[in-house]
Amino acid sequence: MDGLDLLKQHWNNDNNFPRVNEEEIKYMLYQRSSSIIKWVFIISIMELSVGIVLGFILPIDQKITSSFESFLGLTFGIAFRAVILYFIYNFFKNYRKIKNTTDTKTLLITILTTQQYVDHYIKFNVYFFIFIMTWRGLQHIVITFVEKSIGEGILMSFLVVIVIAPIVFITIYLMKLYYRILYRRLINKLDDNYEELIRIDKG
Amino acid sequence: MTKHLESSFINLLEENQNILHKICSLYTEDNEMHKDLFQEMVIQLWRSYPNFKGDSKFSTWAYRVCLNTAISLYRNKKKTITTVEWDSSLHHIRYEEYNPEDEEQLKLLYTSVRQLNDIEKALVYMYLEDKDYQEIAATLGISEGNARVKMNRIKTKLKATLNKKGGI
Repeated sequence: MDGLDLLKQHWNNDNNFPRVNEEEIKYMLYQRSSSIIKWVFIISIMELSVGIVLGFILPIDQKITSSFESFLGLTFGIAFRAVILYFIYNFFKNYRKIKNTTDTKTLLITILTTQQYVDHYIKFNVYFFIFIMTWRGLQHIVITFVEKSIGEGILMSFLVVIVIAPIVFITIYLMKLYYRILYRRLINKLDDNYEELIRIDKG
Repeated sequence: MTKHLESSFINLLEENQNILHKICSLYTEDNEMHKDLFQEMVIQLWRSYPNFKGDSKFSTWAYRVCLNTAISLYRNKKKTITTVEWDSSLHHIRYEEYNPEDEEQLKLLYTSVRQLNDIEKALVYMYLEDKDYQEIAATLGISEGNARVKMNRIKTKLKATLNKKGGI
């Protein structure tokens, strides 16, 4: 008898499982889920909240010296908040689409896309922070060159690079470490299973 | 959720619980994990039950949700969650009706199937449950032809594993 045929024969006759009675099923209905989605949602909400709170606490506007800077600051402020709202809106929109009754591939895509919006949200915040720091550094350099001497300008350039470069590297490193620790274990399984489905469909 | 909905769900689940046990037997390695996954499947089924229209059989609807739970939602934890204590020991395979050679092969087969990845296990489960390739493809969201090709590859893979270990 072929291997799987033997297994099939056994499988069909196998009813040797413990019986879970109605009372036990009723108890299970009201237990807390420990699903991956639940954890992705909890972590995402915490991340979104931290981002929003930090946006209020951290002063991003500096002393305005010209109407051009005022215009630039306003544009940046609006663009920043519009992008953040776009990520949050898409996160919730996709989260609502997660249904355990869809086909497996669709379910995996929906969960991974939902998580990806939070991913983009965090990366956007981090890169925006780096951009603002670099922008301010460049402003200091230009002002020093224009208002003071070339020597002081060169010194300021060195200072800005020495201060900003390690902050940029540390920030990016911490962000990657955070993802590796928090998400890898949680969504590795989803990534692997999704990739397997893609491989199967490639034939 | 009305009491009526709850009692009809509990009745249907009690009748069809072997679906859950069989999927758990492929995706888990010990009794605690089996209970964890079983409970998570019950929770997921219960959450979706209000949308169960009865267009398909409860068993067909349930195995899809359960496979999705095992493949996409179940988080394999080191520490187990609080689950209901049911009177059980881990599902033991009964081999009494098989000759020693077949018994040995069955043990090897179960071990080999448990070593497959989550998607391959789902394919094997549906193959063992006699689902046609159209349904297998629709459940996983892949094409019918590729589901067939993959299943043949799994059969070959299992045969090779058995040959290597001295079975068949």
